[in-house]
Amino acid sequence: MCILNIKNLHVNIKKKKIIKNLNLKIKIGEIHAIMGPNGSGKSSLSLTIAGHKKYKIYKGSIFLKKKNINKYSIDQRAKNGLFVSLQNNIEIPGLNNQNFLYKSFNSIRNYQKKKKINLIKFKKLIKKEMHKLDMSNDFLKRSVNEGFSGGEKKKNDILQILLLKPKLIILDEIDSGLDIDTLKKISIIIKNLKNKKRSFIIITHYQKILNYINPKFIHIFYNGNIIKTSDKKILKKIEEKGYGWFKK
Amino acid sequence: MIHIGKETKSIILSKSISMENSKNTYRSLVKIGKKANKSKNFTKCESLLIGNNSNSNTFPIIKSENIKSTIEHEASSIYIKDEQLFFLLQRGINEDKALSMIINGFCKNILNMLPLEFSIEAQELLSLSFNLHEK
Repeated sequence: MCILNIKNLHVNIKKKKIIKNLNLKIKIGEIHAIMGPNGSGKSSLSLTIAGHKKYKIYKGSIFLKKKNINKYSIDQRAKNGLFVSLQNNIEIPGLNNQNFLYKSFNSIRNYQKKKKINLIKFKKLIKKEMHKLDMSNDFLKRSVNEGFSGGEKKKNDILQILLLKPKLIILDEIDSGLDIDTLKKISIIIKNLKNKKRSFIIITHYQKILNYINPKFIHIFYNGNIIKTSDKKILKKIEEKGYGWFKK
Repeated sequence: MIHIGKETKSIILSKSISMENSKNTYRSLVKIGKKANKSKNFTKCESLLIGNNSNSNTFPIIKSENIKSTIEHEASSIYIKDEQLFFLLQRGINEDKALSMIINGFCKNILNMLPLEFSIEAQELLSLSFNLHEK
């Protein structure tokens, strides 16, 4: 069964075509990677799936678990198990990190008709997850992403995944700005998170994270569409010849 | 703020929120008297603008009769970025709540200085006034 099914998708920003006739199917429990040159529409795709208002679908549809989500609002999509980690992490001054995580956690639980968890239990839960990422406790007292280093922001995203347990996770350049040790740790966590019920889309420019994670398919994105789908073998060719080789 | 004695210090922290067609004006007078040697004043004005028609002005008046004192004034305007709202929505928080979370974050360092009961009341009031607006 497919968790994500994109059919003949066309997307515009201010009348400029960004995604052209895209088809993509992702089955439950698969990891897909998307690679491609800058400005080819990779991030636009992730924002379109998330439901950003700027990206207008004028043709085609997106199905999340058999439900057509074209008209769903951003938070509705999130509550249905979609998680998008953005390329540039947003800072919200003054908003306490723990408060934010708690609200987000219970809001999604509420939608799934699960019982609300109180703050004391939540604190225990979050400390357990934070331990996996080697985060210190003062992290909870800080404002969301304000004054965080690049690595800390990415870790914060992973922490949100660990807490919210989404079904489809889109990671947009999760590996940029990470040192080798942190990259390895995050890759291992992603690998552990992968199970029969959870799928990933990993958008990246570098092979390193893909070597750790082993995606089943690698899609090459160019000019708003997938021009080639292959497996890990293609990585070597990209390294040697760059993306120019695909354009022919 | 009037400084009379020597080595006196003061801080003014002003925050304002303007939404839709509202206008907000800040006026102040900081006066440092002749005898107020080595006095210091720091003023900070932050205004949060929501929507395209909101408006915020700052008119500070500074009168100093003493050359050994320092007066600083800082003014900035902030608006809620689409991306901030998008981020909170993507994490499953609904729009009203997300907006009030960002606004409360903006007011936080002032609300924190209030007595507990009043600070809670002020937060409630903020979220209430924005919910009313949505309906």
